[in-house]
Amino acid sequence: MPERNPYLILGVDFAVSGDVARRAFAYAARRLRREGGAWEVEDLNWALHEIEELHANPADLVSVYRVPANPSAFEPSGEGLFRAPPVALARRTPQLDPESLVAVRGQAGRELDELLVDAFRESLALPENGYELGGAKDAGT
Amino acid sequence: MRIGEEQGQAKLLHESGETELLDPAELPSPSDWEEGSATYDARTPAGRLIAVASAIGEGSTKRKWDPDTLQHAALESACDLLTRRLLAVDVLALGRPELLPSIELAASERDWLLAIAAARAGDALAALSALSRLPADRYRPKLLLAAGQLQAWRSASLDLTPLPVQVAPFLQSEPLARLIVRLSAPGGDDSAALTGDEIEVVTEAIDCSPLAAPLAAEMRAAIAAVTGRTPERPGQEDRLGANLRVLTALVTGRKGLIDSSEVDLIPLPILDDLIESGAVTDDAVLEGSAKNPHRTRYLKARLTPENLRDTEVDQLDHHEERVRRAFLYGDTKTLESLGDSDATRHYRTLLAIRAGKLSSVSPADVLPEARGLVEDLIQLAGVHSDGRPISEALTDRLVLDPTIWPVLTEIAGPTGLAPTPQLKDRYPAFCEWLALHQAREHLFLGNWERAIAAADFCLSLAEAETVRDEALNLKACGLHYLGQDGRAIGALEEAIQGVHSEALLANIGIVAVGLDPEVAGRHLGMLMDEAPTLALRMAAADRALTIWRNTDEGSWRNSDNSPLPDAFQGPLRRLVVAQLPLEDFRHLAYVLAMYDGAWLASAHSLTDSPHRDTLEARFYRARAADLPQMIKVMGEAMAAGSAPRWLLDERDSLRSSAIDILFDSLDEPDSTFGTVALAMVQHQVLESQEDTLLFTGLGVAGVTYHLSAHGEEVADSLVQQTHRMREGWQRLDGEARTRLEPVVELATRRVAINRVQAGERELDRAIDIFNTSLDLGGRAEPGSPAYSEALGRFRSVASICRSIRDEMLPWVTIVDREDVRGGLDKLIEATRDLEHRCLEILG
Repeated sequence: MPERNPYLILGVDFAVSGDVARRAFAYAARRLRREGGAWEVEDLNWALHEIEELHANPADLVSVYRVPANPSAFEPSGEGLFRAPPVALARRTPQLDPESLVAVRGQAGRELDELLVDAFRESLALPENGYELGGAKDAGT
Repeated sequence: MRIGEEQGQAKLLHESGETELLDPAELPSPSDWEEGSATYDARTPAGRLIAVASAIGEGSTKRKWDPDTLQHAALESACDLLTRRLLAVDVLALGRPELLPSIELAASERDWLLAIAAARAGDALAALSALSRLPADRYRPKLLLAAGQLQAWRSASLDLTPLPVQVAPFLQSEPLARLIVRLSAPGGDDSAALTGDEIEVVTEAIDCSPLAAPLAAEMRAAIAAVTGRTPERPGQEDRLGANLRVLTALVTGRKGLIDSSEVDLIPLPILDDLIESGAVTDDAVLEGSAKNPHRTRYLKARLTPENLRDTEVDQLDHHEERVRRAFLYGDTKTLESLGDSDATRHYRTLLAIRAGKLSSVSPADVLPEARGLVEDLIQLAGVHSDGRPISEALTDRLVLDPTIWPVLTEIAGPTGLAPTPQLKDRYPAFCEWLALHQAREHLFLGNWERAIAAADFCLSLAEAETVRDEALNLKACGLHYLGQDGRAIGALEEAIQGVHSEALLANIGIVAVGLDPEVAGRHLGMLMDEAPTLALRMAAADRALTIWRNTDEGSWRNSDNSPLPDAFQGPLRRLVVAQLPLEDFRHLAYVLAMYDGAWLASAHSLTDSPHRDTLEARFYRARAADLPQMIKVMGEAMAAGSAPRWLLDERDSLRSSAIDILFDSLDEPDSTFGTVALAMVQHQVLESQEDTLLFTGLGVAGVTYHLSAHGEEVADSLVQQTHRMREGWQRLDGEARTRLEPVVELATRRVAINRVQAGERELDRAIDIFNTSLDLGGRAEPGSPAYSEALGRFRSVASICRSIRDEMLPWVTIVDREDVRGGLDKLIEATRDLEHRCLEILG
């Protein structure tokens, strides 16, 4: 006969805390009175005592059958009413803030000037001498 | 060198400085000696003379004409305006602008030429200076020169105030002139203040300039950005600065214009605008926000609130998220403390639903998007309280929200909602979850068969490995409690295939113990390797060892000579070198010393262990090698003082085992365990004097018996040790002395017997010598060498007899047993007799 499993007897998941086990004990005792079941009160007492006396970290035990083996399997996946998605923070800055726009435009203006100056410097080849832009006579008019 | 014309003849200058007139027809062919500046292809003969003069002046030719004379002749020869202009070009091309004032030209023309030359030479100050001297209303090409030089002038921080004056006469007719005025004005480059006219100016300047088409397109895109217009041809913004692209992104909403490295430079309101327009990606924003923690936190909350830490939620005072998290954590205290708001009312209502208080809930208290669901839940609860099957009230929106499933089972009771075929057809995912949930509930209720059936139903639906593994685990549990461990092992082995957890390995380690301990041991071995905590790995090791020791060890597969089975031998060896606490290491080292000694004693067994240099490692590796080595290590540790408790326990355990073995094997001639006892004495590991005497006695008795049985003598040191033992024993008080007496007597007797046997063998050899000496002496002439040899041998025999007798005499007084003493007496008497006969012969 397999060894008794205190968690199964109290109807709680493997490795729950003593507090959870005590609440489960109360619930199981009420159910036992109302409906009967596979366990006796002595079983419940033993189970609670076992859990309270168990290893500091039950997860390190290999002598008690683990139900569940993977608690996450019981968590329905996805978001919904009882697991709402995180709430994005609403905007806290003004839209099209004039002050910020002035700042950006000011910087943009400086960038534009740099571009213009660069562009002309790159594009305008200096004449080899002063007469090639139409000659001195033309240049002087 | 021809330097001009005079009277229709060519005027020549010799290197000596003399001049000569020659008929042009008599001139020689031009020479080919040009070097340095003399290679310059001049526009005029005068320019050619200047080039030669420059070459001579710079030393690039060895010709000896006087350069000043050549220059003077050149300048004198330029008579007409065209020649002078061409000479001016030559002078500037030769890098001799200082000669320009000597050429007769208008001052403005000279300045214009100087400005061009300086600009080409990169002399910003000279270029601006020359340009500034030009008459303002003339030299229209100076606009292009100024536009091309603006960058250099601005970089050199030159005073640009002359520029507006210079370009003023062209403002009406030349857009470029207006652009130059704008760019040369101090602080006048703030395009935020661009007026309509200025925009027109810049646009016209671009349109009228010889800019390459792509460059012009970029300029137009930039102008569109600063003027808040949509660019005519999108996609020309690659070379624009960050702020120009920000403005473009604001207008167009286009993605990809802003790099993450530029995000930190954008004012937060503008960044928010860009986020809302979708012009900047979340990744770019989050990657680029690092410098300012407040800003980073704000942006994280805006874009990826799931990544906020709870403290950040508090710092941001992000009420809705704080409330949501309090609900998720089940933190009702915080939820109550957060005041009254739509969010708190919503989640408090959800809490009430979870607590089974649906009757007190109003849909108006939840957020509008949740009201339909809550109404459905209220209706469902009503159906259930009416005693009708709640499957009648299940709606799609209820079942399609998996987070509501636990509430459905709370309303219906853990096993109150049957996963019927109809329900299975409509909602397979829900039925899969429901069956798994109910399988666990049946286990809690001790309904093993129902648990197995529910698990099987879940398995008929589930495809996800996580769910299937759990269903198999629940099924195995039910089977285990029904005593069907074979099927339970099968279910768990199926679950373990592929990805598996330590829980499944632990469970199979439990289930398989009764039916197939080796299977349990093998899976516990896997757990020893794979468990996430050292504590669990150690627990698996302990359980595997316990199972193994409690079963028929010989039935386990074992492919080497050590007792440890294959099932967990490897895992145990790997575990002992893990980062274990010292206590666990000691425990495993002990186990391995006992059951896998050859491996533990091998050179590198513990090399990887953090405890490889500890006393524990030395002790158990010595233990694995042999007991005397272990005792030596034990003795060294004790001699060093403050031996640890575990070592004293080992000593006590060894003492206890040794006493049992020594007493059991006292009459076993083949036992060598006495050496262990003597080693314990030698290395002073025993706690009391009585123990030391006891182990000496047992050790001496055992070792002596073994040697006597094999016809070997005990060493003198052992004899001395026996005497010391007796002395120590005699100093004991009465009770202890009485306790040890049998052992001391036995040890003494066995040594005495060994010595008697040795004495008898020696006496036999002496008798042989005596007899051969009789023969030798009887045949020899008195006084002959042979006769003398015989006499010498008789003397030796007599000496041997005395020696044997001297050694035996002390034992007569300390040996109690009559038979042994009789043997001693007999031997002593025999030595006397033989000695007497020798002495008679010797006279």
